[in-house]
Amino acid sequence: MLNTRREFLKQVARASALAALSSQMGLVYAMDPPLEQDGLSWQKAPCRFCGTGCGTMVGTKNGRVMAVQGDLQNPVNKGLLCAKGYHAGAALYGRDRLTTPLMRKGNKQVPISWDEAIDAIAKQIAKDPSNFSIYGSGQWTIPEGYTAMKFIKGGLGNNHIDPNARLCMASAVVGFITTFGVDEPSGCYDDLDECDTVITWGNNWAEMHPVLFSRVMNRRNNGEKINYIDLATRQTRSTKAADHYMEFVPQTDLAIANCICYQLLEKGTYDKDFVAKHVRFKDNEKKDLSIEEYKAFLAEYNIENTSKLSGLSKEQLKYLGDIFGDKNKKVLSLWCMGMNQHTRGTWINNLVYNVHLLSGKFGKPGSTPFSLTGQPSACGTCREVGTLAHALPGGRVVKNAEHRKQVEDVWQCKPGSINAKPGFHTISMFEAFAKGDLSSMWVQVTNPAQSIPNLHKNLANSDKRFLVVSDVYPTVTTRLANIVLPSALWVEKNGVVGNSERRTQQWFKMVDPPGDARDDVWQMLAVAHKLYEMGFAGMKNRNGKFLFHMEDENGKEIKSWDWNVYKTINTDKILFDEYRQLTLLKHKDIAPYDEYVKTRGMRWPVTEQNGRWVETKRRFVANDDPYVAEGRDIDIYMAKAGDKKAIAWARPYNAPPEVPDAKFPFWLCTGRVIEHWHTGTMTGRVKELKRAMPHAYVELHPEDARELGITDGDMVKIKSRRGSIILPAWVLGRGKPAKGSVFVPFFDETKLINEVTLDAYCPMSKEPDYKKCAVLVEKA
Amino acid sequence: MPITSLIIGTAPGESANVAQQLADVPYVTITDVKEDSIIVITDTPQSEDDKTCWDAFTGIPGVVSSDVIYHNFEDVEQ
Ligand code: SF4
Repeated sequence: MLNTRREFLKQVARASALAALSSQMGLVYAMDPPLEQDGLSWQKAPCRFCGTGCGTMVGTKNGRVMAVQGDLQNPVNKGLLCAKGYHAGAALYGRDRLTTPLMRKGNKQVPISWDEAIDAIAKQIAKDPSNFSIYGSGQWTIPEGYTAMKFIKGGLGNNHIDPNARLCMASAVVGFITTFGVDEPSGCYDDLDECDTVITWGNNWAEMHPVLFSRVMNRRNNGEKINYIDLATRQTRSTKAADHYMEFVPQTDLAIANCICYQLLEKGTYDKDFVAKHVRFKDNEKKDLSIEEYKAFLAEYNIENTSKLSGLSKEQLKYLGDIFGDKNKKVLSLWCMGMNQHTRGTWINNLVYNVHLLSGKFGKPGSTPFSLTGQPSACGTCREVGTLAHALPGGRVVKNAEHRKQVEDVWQCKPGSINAKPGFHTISMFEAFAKGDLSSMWVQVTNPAQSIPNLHKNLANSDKRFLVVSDVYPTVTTRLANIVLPSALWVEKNGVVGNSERRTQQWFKMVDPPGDARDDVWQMLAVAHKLYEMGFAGMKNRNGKFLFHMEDENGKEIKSWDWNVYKTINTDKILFDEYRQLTLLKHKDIAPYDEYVKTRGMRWPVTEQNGRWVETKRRFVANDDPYVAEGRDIDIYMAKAGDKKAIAWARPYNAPPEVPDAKFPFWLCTGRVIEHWHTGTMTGRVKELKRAMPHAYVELHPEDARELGITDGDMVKIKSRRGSIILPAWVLGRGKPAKGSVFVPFFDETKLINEVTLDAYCPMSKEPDYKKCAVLVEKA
Repeated sequence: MPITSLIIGTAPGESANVAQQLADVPYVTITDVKEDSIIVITDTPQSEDDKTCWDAFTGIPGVVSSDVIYHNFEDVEQ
């Protein structure tokens, strides 16, 4: 019987692969035998992990996830998944799942009831509501982030909420807003299918967005000519597929982008018509520049100077200039953390837009800049819902009185409930917590005690403050907590998320969470209602009802704070449809919840046309985006000046705050590996992934290793001005850093590289630079 | 004992060579060899073995990409 079943499953596995191959080649999908015949119940859900947002089909039986397959009907991945995606199911079943609330008593965390936990949290908040903070996540679902934002901004009247997305994409946000007047990309994944040239700017997409990488590589395999240029500071798996590898000195991407613009203007190869119609120029002081003044600014970024500064050869720089100057080339620029985690992260985002705006390679199929995100809902939750310290839903900001009023009206809060003063952004939030300026913090869906930079400084005293942590497994952060709340994970709850290409995707709960673990939304609703019961004014709306008042179709109040009621209703639908009203202001329109149930997601703006909900592939582009004014080919409709033009900023090269010197002679770059998701909380529980990548390592250039007398497996000390750690060496392992630099991944909780990193950040986006600081490297 | 299917993308004209080398990797069954891709099923005795086995694929000359399509782990204890 076992053999029969195994043979049958192999047939299913083969049929799935054949169907995926057909789908990759644009053929009609037919699967024999169909999935249902394997005895599992199958439902769609987007992958739990990265910002690519691949669709999975999840097979369940007897209340347990048994299998995962790439969703052939999902246009994001057309059936493909990476190593993390197909283990998303196994990540639910680590042996040490948190299953009961815990409270610190003395040196121990002991089990308590949910009632005790909710009561203790509400009492602590009521003592000092204006100094309470929430640190959330780009892995929050849209309803989770929306609930947390309404709780603190509407209920407590303070704005001390920020997500870990501050650490991964804040520079992209400010880059978009300063250039286009509104956040999020014009392009979409379809551009991967139509480009003829791909340039990655400091992005190892073969490991970090592997399915997108495969999508382009499959085109190559099918005989299409795709030129891939890997512009980076470290050779990676992506480099193996590159036609051109260009290694630059850290931070000089600013100069390289300016040099490309210099060449376009100097040679006259820029797109004059596009520039005249759609671009204006400004300097750093926001003063308008003529194109001649802008050209004069660029003069110092000539090929000679830039080659000396960046380490790229003159030929390489000229090649880049020529690629962008060629009207017939369809160039897609991709980037993620390499550009965003940068002390001039906003500027480098602006400068890559400059390159595309000057060359007219914008908003055209396959020819556009495209910023990738790291987390599954960094876009949907942090950027669109606006769970940042200065933001409100739909692109609004707390500083704007009209925006506050619009949100208060939808939330039915009393007028003036929302505070006009932005709260602490991530780094300042942890500094304030360390100093005692914030008395309490609630962390959901993230692990800051491992992931924030310069841990010694930023985590000082956190065990002395009131810290609540909601998570699925024990982490270095839960160990510091006064109260630990066990959470439901992925398909143990309903969810809606938004990926890199503006695609909003929904799924339903499929299995129960283990033990007494409960949804993050419920946790927040329960504390909010406890505060309401205690008479806390902010948790009453303008009609005296609970701030999160919900009604059924008969107008009867839904007791959403009662777990026995909560688990029988779909609060996601109620919260999402409420949030939806706030998405129209800046043309980020989303459809009603029920529309997402029927689809594999839709890219906003989604508008109702002739009774159908229609998504937008390319934003700002005529015949696609419904908000483009008649007669325009491209419409930058949220341009601040009202002139419908994007801004090309004159941003200079700016040296990094810390560079190698005699005492700390190496660059340190940190990042992720394909097997593990961020701090490894979930993927570290999957045996296959743990065994494939059991611990962190330091990757060295072979010549540096030889000079230091280090060979593979030797223990190596990495020391900075902030801290030190000891790690095994990996020479010529998976990647090859530039000579004079080392790479360390941050997934390993036993080797906290963030004790070494620097917390300097971009002054505009407040996003820290994890990619460069100075360290000493020596044999331990 | 998970069962998994993968599509191995190969460089143009390399699929036959790659298939020969894939055949030497333990726990692997090759079901289909196309012009530029190969379908592989892995059936590993331990769940830890499958990732190691898939990693071996990416080290084979001529392999360009490796994507998992179906992964059934119904009898695996984490
Ligand atoms: S590429 Fe990202 S979204 Fe897709 S399967 Fe991998 S981790 Fe999941």
